[in-house]
Amino acid sequence: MPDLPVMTDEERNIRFEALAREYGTDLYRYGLWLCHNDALAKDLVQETYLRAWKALHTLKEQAAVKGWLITILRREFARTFERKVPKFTDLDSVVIEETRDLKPEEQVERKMLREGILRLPPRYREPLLLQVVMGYSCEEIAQQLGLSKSAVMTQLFRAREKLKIMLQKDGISGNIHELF
Amino acid sequence: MNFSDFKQWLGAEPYAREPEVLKARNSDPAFEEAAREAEAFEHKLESAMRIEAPEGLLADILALTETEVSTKPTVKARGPWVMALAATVFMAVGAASVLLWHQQHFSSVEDYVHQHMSHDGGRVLASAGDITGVTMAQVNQVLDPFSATVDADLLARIQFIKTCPTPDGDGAHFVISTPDGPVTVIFMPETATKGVAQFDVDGQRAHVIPLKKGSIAIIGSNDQQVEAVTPLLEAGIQPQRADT
Repeated sequence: MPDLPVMTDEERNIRFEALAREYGTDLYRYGLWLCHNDALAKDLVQETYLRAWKALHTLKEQAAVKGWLITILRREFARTFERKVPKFTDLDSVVIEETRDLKPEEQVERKMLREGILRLPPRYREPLLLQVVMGYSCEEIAQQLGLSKSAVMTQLFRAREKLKIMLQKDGISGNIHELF
Repeated sequence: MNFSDFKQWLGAEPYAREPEVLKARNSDPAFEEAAREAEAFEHKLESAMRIEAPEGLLADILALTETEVSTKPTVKARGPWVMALAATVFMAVGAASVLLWHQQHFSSVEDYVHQHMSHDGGRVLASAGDITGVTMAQVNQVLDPFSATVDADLLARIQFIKTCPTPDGDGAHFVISTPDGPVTVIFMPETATKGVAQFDVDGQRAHVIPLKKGSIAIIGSNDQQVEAVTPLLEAGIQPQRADT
């Protein structure tokens, strides 16, 4: 991948806007699932882009942009929670739900699935977010998280298994909490 | 590839298209059925995780560049729309922080000031540098919930104001200009303190004073006379007339 030339201010603005348009929504979703909190997710995205803007000139490879932004957001998230862990918040308060085409049981299932995702341990949730929300391959997730590909595949498999079991079990007992 | 390996692979990559996976899928109806089930579950998962971004997210991100530019000391004064935009962005960021902060508990006012300054004190102070003033309407928008307002002398000194969490509910985070440079002021309308307190905050000085209702923390560098701002604040932050 060729190095990018030195940017003028105008080029920097154009490039930044392209980054915002291409990744802003996905980063918000990723941040929201990571931190469970709409306000904090917006804050994380803002902080990510603020840092990205300041360091845009240091980014050499276009192909690395997405990983670079994710790394900034993850670091900012980790820094935010060094001392404080937020309480679990209800996603229903921030989700603009498109339920018109869903049957009642499908709506319940989607809600349960969301609760299950939020309750997944981070080691399972984060690879899943990178794959489903950010569109990463297992190799890319491994690189982002500093894990082996086989470890990532195991975590992804277990994440999905937990969610499937939760959906099946909840249909019987109605208690998802004991699974996590 | 046996059925167990195949299901493990699907669990990790439901849309896997590697030749060995495709070959296994086409080798047996049970494999084909498992693949269809995995894709159906994945569709549900994707739908559950596809949350709409809030309106204005892109505009807020793009406005960050304007704010950054506006903080450069070499840049000449910008149009009022840029200042308004910058103020709006920082109000939005501040509001975004409020939810998280509301969930925190502080052992003391000193602990709270430490946490608050660590959270966004430096950033707000730096970014407020070239926002050369706010309107009374902007101030009242922040202070109305506390039934408070400011007088004209203090208004003239306020470079920036936003809602912020305090140990006992919301309050206000100001940046005000002084002869020694801008200082941070945190108004805690429901937090009573006994007398004046002073302490260090990561290399800065904090000066906390009680008001008739609530209290105020003034935070500045060691070479700033933060105490000198006290009379301006004591006289300047006032209850709204309807409540007096």
